Amino acid sequence: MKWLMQLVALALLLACGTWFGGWWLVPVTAALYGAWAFRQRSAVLTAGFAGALAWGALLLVDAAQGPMGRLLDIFHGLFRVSGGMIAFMTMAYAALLGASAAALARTLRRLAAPV
Amino acid sequence: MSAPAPIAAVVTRASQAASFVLSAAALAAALYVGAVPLGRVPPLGAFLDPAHGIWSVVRAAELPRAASLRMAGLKDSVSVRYDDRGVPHIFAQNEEDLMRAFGFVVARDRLFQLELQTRAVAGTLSELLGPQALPLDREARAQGLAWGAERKWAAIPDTSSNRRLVTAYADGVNAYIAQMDPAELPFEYHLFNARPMRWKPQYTYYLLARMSLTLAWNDEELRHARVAALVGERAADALFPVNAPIQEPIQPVIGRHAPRIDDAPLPPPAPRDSAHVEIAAALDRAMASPTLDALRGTGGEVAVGSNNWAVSPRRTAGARALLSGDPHLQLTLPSIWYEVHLQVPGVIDTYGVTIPGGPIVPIGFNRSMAWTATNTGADVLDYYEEKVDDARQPTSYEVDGAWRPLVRRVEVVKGRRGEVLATDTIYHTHRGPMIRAGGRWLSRRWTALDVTDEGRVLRLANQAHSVAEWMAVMDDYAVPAQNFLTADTLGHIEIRSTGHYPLRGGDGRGDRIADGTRSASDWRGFWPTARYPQSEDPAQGYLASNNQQPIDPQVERSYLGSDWPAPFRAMRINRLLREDSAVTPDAMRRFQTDPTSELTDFFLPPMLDAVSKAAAAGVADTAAVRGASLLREWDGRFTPDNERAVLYDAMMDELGQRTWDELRGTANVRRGPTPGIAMLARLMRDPESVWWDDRATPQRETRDSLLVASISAAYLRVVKRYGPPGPRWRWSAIRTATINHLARIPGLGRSRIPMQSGRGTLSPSDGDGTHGASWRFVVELSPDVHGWGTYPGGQSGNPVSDRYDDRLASWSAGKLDSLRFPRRAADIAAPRATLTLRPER
Repeated sequence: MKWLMQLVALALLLACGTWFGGWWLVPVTAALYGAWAFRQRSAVLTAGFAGALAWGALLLVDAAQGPMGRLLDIFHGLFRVSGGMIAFMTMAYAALLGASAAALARTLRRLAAPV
Repeated sequence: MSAPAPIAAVVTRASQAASFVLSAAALAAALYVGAVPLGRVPPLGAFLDPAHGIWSVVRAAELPRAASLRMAGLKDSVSVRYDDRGVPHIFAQNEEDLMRAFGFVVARDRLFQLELQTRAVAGTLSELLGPQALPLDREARAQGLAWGAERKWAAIPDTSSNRRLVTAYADGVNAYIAQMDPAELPFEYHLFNARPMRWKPQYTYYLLARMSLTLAWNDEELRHARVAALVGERAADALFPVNAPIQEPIQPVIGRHAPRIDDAPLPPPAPRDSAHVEIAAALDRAMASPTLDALRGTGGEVAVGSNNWAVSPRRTAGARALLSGDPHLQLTLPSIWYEVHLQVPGVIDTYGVTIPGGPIVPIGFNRSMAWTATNTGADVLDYYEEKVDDARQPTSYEVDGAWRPLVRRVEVVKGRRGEVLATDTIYHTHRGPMIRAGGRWLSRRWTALDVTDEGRVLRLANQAHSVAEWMAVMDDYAVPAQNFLTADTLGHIEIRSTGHYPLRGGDGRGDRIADGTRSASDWRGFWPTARYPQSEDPAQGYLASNNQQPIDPQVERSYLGSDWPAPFRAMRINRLLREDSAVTPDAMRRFQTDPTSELTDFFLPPMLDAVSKAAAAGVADTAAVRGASLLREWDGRFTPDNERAVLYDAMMDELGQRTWDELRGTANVRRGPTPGIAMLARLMRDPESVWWDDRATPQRETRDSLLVASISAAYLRVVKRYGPPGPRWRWSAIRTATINHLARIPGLGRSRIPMQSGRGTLSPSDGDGTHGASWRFVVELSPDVHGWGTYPGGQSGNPVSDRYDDRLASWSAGKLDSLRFPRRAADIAAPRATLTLRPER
């Protein structure tokens, strides 16, 4: 439950950061989270999931405000892969940003901590 | 017992170090691809960002229902109401406010188009698209259109109202860019990882220059050199004549109701001329300019063909003048046109289409009159062979035995990061920029580079109250020369081929490379307006133009141009208008996509006759007999469900290729351009001409043997491609339009759009279907002027919006929408969106 709450809270933070700041706030926020939750084994996974969740939610916000289907069709014509694949790549990229930043911060924090 | 602790610590540290390396590498890679473009792939971070990246364009697909903002420079509030078709109706209290709002509104829907078109003229596409655009940029710089536009802009007095209004339009564009929400950044900027450039007022003149490039670029001299190299001077002259072989001119010839056909036999081809071959080869290497050659199908028909016609009240069902406009251009998405209604009480109340970036309505109507245009195609560009002091790095050129200094223009083409991609020096004589062709230097004199102000003239014309006033304003119009057709609520109709037509020395012709060492070769001025081809309220009760030679040379002998498009469209519309004495707006609409071609009469009966004779003589093969039998069933119409037109079309292709074998290229010279279809039609009347002979075969071919061979080959070709006669031969599946995106971005264009069109029909089509009717409209000049129109695309430049291509279906079906022309903002009962612009406090 605690993990789920952390996940949702972090996803919310990442979504807000992206909306008001930009994509670069995903690794920054995830790094801060990784440093804060360095004792948790699941911190990296949480950050990755939260990144994907945040950007997935933002895609839903986009879809609610316009013809997402047409954009997916255009992606298909443009990149020769399905539009859904581009959506998946988008979330995967956010996950990579979140997880790698959290992992790096967590490792640094653990290196700095006494064994 | 204490030993394991250090080991565990070491293991832990080692694992942490490995984790550090791995996570650092992963993060570095993610950040790198997020921030740095990889080849043509934009930085993924900004690109995929769902709030600000490419996904966000979805949120800007539809205009906000109601928006309001303050804009610097406005004196009063401006109300913009978008009707159900997405057309903005701009209601302002003064012209400057109107122009500010106009710039804002156009940028809101077409920002990327504004920039791309401007950069294409300026030769700065590489700064947006990268080095692959370098050849285009270098060519644009060499053409000098931006240089010419800057001169035009600099010549406009600071105090002139025109300068003020064009500047206000630019302010409007920039105001939109400044307040734009990240989601409103057009799709293409995300792909190219770019931001919009600020809009300068002179860019309006860049766009007008672009129209000149599209419509007034002629290189008869180069074509002549190439054809003369292949078949000799006399034959080249005859194949691409100064006067069209079939005369159905724009300016009506009183008492004549049928075309006049020149039956003089074509001179035979001469052996290849080595002197011309050398010139032609050098020119071929030097010039990769846009010419109509590229648009010609194998049948020699130019697929670009605009139409306009107007009918006097006494020949219309409603006793009101009617006008139809149907300009044909290269089709793109977003469309070249943007529909708009502009109103300032007591000053302007105009509806029509504008080219994004140009604060004018070149085709449209107001409360008193309507206007439209087709391209005149006059020869307004000449080449001069110059004698320079140094062929490699010239500094001066000789005229009348005296040396004059060349003016140097250094053009630096930059890339996306500001890096220098190329530095070119363009030399100018008093005639214009020079190009180098082998060891020769040619200068180019072109009306498009003259200091004239079409922006001002067209803006004033938009406000005219009658045909007479409109034509008076247009006296100052220079380029591109257009067949402007007008009609007014008083019942007048008038056409005039308007533009600057050069007066030349000697025989007056401009289709040869002139001697630059003599000032006598220079232009001596322009035709006076009174000599322009024109007609006002003719006795026949209608007027039409279709790009054909505007005036019969028996009426006006002066050289205006050469190799005119065939008049088959003119013949068809004139017939339709002659036969209908009670024309309705709906008939005008139907005429625009009329499926019948007058051209067919020149070819089909002789071909059927030739096959019958060959069959009787036992020399026709089965394919020819079968093909002819199928074409006997054809009604001669290019309707979508027709299953025979494909065979005729293929036959015409075959005939064109077989007939003009003399123009096949050599190792040094490209294939000569195919003569116009009117030349082939004329040749049909000379069955024994040597031009029918295929020089690659030992026997002597005649017209009839070529016709039989053509239908035979066509039948086999069509069966091979589409199978036996049946539904796969349906015209709607074969003759389709292809509308590419403006920057040819895959996925943003549309293809396989059925068209009711064919060779020589009023809506002509050929080749790959990338050209066609760019805007069709009909206006009834009743007291409450009523218009109908459509264009292939939509108002929005956002490919995600349904307003991007929502008119394609009706355009394809030949339908027109009723155009809203409200007198007051409140008359638009249920606007699709509203925008209120207020002055800053």
